[in-house]
Amino acid sequence: MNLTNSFLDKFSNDRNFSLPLPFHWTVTIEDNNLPSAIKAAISKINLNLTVTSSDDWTDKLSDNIFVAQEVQIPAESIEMTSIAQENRGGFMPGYGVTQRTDFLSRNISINFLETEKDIETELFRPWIIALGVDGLLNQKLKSIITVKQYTRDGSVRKVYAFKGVFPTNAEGYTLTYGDQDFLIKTVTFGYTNYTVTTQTSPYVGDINIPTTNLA
Amino acid sequence: MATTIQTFFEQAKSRQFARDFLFRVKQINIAGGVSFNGETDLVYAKTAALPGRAIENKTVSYVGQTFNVPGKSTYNASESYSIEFYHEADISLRKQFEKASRAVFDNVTSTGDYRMPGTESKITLSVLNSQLEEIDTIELVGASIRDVGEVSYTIAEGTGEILTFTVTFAYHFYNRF
Repeated sequence: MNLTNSFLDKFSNDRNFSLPLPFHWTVTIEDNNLPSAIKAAISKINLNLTVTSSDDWTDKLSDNIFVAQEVQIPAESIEMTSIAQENRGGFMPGYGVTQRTDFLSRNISINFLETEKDIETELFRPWIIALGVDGLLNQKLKSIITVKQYTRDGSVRKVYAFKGVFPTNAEGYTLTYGDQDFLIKTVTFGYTNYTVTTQTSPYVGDINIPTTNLA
Repeated sequence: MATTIQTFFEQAKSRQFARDFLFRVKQINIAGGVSFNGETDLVYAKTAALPGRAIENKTVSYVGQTFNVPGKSTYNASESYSIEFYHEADISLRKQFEKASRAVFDNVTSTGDYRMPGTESKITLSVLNSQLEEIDTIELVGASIRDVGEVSYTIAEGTGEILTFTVTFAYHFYNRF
């Protein structure tokens, strides 16, 4: 058996083994109704901030948020415990699963470029303040974040849809008179659940994104 | 049969060779609404290069063998595309480039047109044939000025040498027509 030739044949001819480039992704936040919900919440503490939906930073053709630079897809994990018993001789302790790790500690984070009209200042910061006022009971303050990854010919190959999304932290930043790169701010989100939809082979055409399942 | 000198001669006779002077900087439009025309300002362009394009190499390893896989495209030295100009006696061309540089960022007011250069900002290059007809046109898209190079004078030991200076631009990518 020629291991190298088998590997080469698989990776060069089998579409399932095509290596996708990691920068082929887009991200969307469904937040058309958010600005009114945020304004209503922050008005309770007499705050009157400019609140804009992410539409103002979104490419109408691809639904991609232009200013998003990096998305951290959360891990999937479980928490385990060792189950021991005294006087068990030479037997090793057992172990068991206690729970699936919660979605707050394995959050999704997105880095956004600061532009003159800034998405962090006009959407995420007021959104967090609104959550501080109304809490998570206000379902109107939750959204859906969709991250799509694409094949080398531009078809959607994988869709992460995060349900019940709410921002938990908008990173602060330092202003300096020294030389500095463009400002990029990290916003961290919690969520209540997520789905992953993948394209079935052959990789042609787009996936039907199951948004109806997320309502 | 292997290629012979006769084959080379026949091919060379038919295809000829490109010459290093059959190249023009046709137009420069950069941020701040500053334009340089090929028929007037840019006739003093002395040297310029046809830019290059590269595909990044990525590697995957398997049982001791490294496989080379193509990655994304890059435009070689697109952050520093240089054109050398003859230095005019009245310094007007250099002054125009300095004006363009100050239009991008004015250190006196800390303001300027330092937005991302769009498709309207471009450097147009032409490759010519021996009849001086354009046979290739390249547009460097999103061009903006970076360095207006220094000019070295040799006051004591000068021989009357014609002076030159280099202007460096950055661009995003190029289109070929």
